[in-house]
Amino acid sequence: MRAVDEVSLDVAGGELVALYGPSGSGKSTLLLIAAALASPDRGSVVVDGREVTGLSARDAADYRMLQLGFVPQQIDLLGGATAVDNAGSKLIGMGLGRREARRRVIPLLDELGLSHRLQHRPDQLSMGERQRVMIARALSTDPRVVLADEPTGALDSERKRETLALLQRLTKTRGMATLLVTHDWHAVAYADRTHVLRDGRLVDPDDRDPVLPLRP
Amino acid sequence: MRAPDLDPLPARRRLRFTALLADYRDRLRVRWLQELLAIAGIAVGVALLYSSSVANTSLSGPVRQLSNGIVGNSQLQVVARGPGGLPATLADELRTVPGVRIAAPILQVQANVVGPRGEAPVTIFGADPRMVELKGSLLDGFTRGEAAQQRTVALPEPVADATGLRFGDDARLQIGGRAHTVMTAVVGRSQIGALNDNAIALAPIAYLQRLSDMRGRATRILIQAEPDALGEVRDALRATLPTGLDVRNTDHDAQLFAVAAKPTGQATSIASVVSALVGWLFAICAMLVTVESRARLARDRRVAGFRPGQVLVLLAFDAFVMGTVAAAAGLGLGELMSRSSEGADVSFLGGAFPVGDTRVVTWTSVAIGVVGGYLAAFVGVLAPVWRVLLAHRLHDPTAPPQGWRRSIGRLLPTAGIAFLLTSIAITIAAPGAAVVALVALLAALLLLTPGLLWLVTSALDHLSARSRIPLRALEMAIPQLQEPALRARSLAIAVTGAVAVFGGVALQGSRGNLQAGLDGVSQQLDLIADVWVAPKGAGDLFATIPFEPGLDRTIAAVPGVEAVNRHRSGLLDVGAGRAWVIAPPATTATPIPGGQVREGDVRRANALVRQGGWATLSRALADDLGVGVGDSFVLPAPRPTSLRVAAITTNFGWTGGAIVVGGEDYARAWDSSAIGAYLVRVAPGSSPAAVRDRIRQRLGRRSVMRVETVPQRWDRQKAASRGGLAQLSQIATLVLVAAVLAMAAAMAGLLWQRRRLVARAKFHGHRTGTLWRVLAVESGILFGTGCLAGAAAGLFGQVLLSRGLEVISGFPVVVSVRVGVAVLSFVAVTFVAMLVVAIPGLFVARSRPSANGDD
Repeated sequence: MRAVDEVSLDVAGGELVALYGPSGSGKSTLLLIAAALASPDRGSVVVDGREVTGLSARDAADYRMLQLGFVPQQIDLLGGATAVDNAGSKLIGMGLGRREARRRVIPLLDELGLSHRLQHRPDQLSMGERQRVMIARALSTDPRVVLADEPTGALDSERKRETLALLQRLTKTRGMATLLVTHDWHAVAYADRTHVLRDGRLVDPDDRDPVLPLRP
Repeated sequence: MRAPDLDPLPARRRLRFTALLADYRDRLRVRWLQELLAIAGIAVGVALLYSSSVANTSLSGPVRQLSNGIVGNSQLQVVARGPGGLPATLADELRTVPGVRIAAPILQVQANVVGPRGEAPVTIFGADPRMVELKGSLLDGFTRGEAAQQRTVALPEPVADATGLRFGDDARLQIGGRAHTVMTAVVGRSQIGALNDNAIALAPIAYLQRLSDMRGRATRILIQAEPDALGEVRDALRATLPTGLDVRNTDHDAQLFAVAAKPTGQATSIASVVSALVGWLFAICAMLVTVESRARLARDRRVAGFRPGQVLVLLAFDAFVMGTVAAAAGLGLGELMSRSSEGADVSFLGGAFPVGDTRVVTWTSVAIGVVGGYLAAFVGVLAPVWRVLLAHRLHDPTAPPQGWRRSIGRLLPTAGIAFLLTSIAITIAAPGAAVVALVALLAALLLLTPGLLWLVTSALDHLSARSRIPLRALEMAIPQLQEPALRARSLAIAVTGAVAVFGGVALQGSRGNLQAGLDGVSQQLDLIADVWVAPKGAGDLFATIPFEPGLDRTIAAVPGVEAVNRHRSGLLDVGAGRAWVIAPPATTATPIPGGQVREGDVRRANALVRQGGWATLSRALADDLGVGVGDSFVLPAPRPTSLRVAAITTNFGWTGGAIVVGGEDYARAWDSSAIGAYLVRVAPGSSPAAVRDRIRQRLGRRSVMRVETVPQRWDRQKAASRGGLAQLSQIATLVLVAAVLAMAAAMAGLLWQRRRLVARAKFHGHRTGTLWRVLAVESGILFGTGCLAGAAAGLFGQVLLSRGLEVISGFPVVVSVRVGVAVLSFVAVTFVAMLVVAIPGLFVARSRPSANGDD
């Protein structure tokens, strides 16, 4: 069985592209391949002119560390660490110390509206705030590409809107290429473009469900 | 809003130590309980490894120290085989042998020191002034003049304290069948160093010759040869010495002791291996509780862009911290255990060797504990996440994970049954490989426990569905146990219980079997008389203190005594061991203790030994001499005697090996009329206890003879053998206690994480009492299943270990299945663990209701 087949899409800097599809349509697999976390049987993913599908484990790690920001579906923060230390945890892998990592992520958390929650632990944060810490962590290395896998799956409607709007704004202000994977129709309203994936294949625009949400 | 300007990232560097430390601290905050549990598990393993290693080194250490302290710079010794010794003047002749620098006679005598506070058995060394020149630590503070002229017996401080004697006091010294009053000198650690802790005493040789009625005699002559003439001297001595004298290296006693203590060490070692495995598995099982969070951390960091090597460093740091803390705690705990238990009690060897109480701690023992601790920590941390660490790509979209899990699920019971069959096969075909069989059995237990848990939960699920009475708590608990996300932790708890109960049941049961075997042989040996009369001292349990008989008529004249017979027994160096030679009187119907014959016909063997010219040998001695039933061998007694092997027996609990010969053969071979004990048969209708009291009265209060009935003697022998096996019991108990704590802590951790779920259940209307019962049922099923599996495997482990001990050590083991031990361990561990868990369970059940579970 093929999880993803004959999919071709490109995302430009400053653009937020949504990949919409029901569960099992292959959208998360596509994201994993783009993050060099899974290898396709054939095909390629090119980031800034560099083929990333055939990278060694070490080079793939460097690619994810320096060029990629990955926002996973599940909010998985370290319960014993503060918001600022959770946001800076990716930078530890760069060989930075805690103090240096904090210095780098504090402006980012400020930008995300968390300046008053820096020293709070995850259990003291709301779900929306936790998701924003996850986004801050993904952006802490100033990546060129952001891959977001159902980032609002665990949030209520209001938090969803806030988070998507934030992602949309960051994409523009930072000039990132953002690929948003979602099965929530409301989320696609924040995208510059939307592709629909069904049974591992991109659906022809003419066959798409005609009801698309209005822009917020 | 404008994006903040971030400095360009520096080039990628190695992970910083401070960052690793801070990261670990943050993770520790939320999972300290699990981490503590894992550390406790490893620490118990380290403690068991360390204390058993110390016990083993302490076993032979004092004898070696004493041997070195006496022999000093000498390299050879001329030893007399019999208790009569050799002429001390032989030393002057040997001094004339070319290449001999010093030849110094020494007399070694077993005695009993009696003071105002009590009595203590000691080995007295009668030192010749020439020994001072050998510079052994025993005579370090003495001059030649002091060694020759003093008329005192010097006691080490611990012996003096135990008997209540001080410098200059008069002490009663019982040697053989006589008693003397002597003046006491007390020596301390500053004079004789570590020998201070040995049960010894020191006197000038001439004085001791007089006290022991061995005028002009010595038991050995120490020889210091020119270093380049050692071989020639040895050959010259062998050529000139008469029969009955042997030339040995000076470390001969230490080597013999190592042989004698080996089975005790082996029994301890097997127990140590079991406990180390159990401790190690505790650690692994305890860490299973943290596997999920560690695997998530590893995956999360790799997704974030950490290199595989960096993730390895991150996890290795965890292992390093855990290993360090656990090793330190384990060494501390092991030191406490070692000090309190004093290792294996080998006081039963006191009649043959000067056994001491010195604890010998070597760097090797520390290293064994530390390496074991780190190994458990690193394997426990890294092994479960190896796939995350090594995978080139974290996700393989083409892999069918569910199918893989199903295959593993099917493979586990198959592999478990294969290991079980392997263990059974080894037990039947090669019982000596008990440790291998034990490891296979443990592997089977680990692999089969998940299947058993599945069976139990399915059966209970079925029961709750069919039951007419509503089993609400059970209905709610079963889905929790079947929840895939919690399965690894549930299994970890069940497996911990299984392994611990297995270890406890197997160790306790095999100890019981060994004890039963030793008790049985003691009883058989003692039952040849109604009352025993033998000199007091370290060798009186084995009747190996020779004395010239002269009390036969006195004892026979006591009312109620029907007959008095002479029992002979002694110690003899045969092959690589110091054997116990027993010669019951000819009137004994069965000179060979019942149930001890391993090869040959019991009835014929008894008849042959009584008839004379025949002997029985224990297995190790027969192997050493290369003989079997019916073969001839020469007993290396003072007068070498040719005998034939009537049967092969156990070692009767004497680790150096046992030989049974006829009384006449013994007297001829030893060329001596000395005996070891009087055996008194009581007239029909008389009470042995009453006769014993009358004999004591007749011999007088100051008699050097110990008069005992069979039950009294048997009690002392049982106490001695229980001392030798004490460490097995301590380890078995410790394993069970650790299991209760480990399971209860793991379960409490699991329940604590369930607070949100419970809060949500409360929101939906469930009551505290119901939820508490649900948690209790869940704990009970996990504990009960694990402990049940462990108890069942433990029963097989008892047989396996008992057979192994019998074959490896030659001990008389009664191989039986002790179901009571298994049932008691199962019930006790399950019940106590549930009791401990009930408290945190109640706290969890009382969580405040909440819609989303946040509390």
